[in-house]
Amino acid sequence: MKILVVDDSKAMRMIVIRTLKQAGFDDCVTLEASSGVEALEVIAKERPGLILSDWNMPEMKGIDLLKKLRADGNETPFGFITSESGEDIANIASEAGAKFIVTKPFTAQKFGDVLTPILA
Amino acid sequence: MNIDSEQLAELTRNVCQAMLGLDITPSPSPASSETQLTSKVCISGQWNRTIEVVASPEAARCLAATMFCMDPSEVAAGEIEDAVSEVANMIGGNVKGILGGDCELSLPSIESPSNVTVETEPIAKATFDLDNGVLQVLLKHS
Repeated sequence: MKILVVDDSKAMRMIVIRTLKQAGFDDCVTLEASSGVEALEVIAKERPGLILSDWNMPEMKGIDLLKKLRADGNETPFGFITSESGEDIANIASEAGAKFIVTKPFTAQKFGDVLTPILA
Repeated sequence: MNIDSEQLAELTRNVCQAMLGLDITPSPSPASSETQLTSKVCISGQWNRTIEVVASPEAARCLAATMFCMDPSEVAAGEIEDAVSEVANMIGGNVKGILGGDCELSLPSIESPSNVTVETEPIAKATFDLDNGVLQVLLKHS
C-alpha cells in the first residue's frame, strides 16, 4: 500500500516515515508532500491507500485538504498527525471524515494501535 | 490556567525523548550568545501566549542531526531551522492542549536575534544541556 505523508516540515516527514517502519509497516511505499496543494497533485497521480497529514500548514491546512478530498468524492482513509490537541480539534476532524488523530509526540506503539485496523 | 516551569520542563523532556530518543538534562544556567537560534510559536484566542525555543549552535545542530539521522557536521542551515521549529511546534501544541479553551496555534517562525523579546519576563522557563550546548524553552505572555 502507498502511504502519503503530508507535512511542511521535512524533519517531521522523516520522523513519521521512520516511525511507520518502526511500527512494522515497512512493506508500505511512502510518498511525501510538503503542503496540502502538493498533496492533491500526489493523490491524483499516485492514488495512495492512506493519507497522514499535519494539521497546521501554510497554503492549505490539513483539515482543508481533507474537506477538499471528501467534496471531490475521494474517500481515501485520512488521519492527522499533529501538535494540535483538544476535543474541539478531534470533533472537527471526525466530522470532516478523519479516521484518527495522533498527537505529537507519538510512539511507534501508537502508530501500530491506530494504523493496524486500517492497514490490516 | 497557567503552566509552571516544572510542567514546561516535563513536556519538553517528553517531546525530546518520545520523538528523538534524546535524554536531556536540566541545566543551571542558559548560554548567552548572539548566535543562538530562536523559533517561536504563538497561541492566540482565549489564551495569548508565546513559546520560544532558544538553541545554542551545538544544541540546534544536535536536534537536527538526530531528526535527520545525519552526522552533526553534515546538517544544513535549513535543516537546523526546520528541526528547532518542529520542536517549538510540538511544545506549543502541548502547551495549547494543557491551556485548553478556544485557541489557535501559529506556524513556527525563526526569529532574528533583534526580534527576540529578551526583556519580557517569562511565565515559565526550562533550560537543558544538550550536546555541550544549551536548549532553553520560554513561555511568555503575548
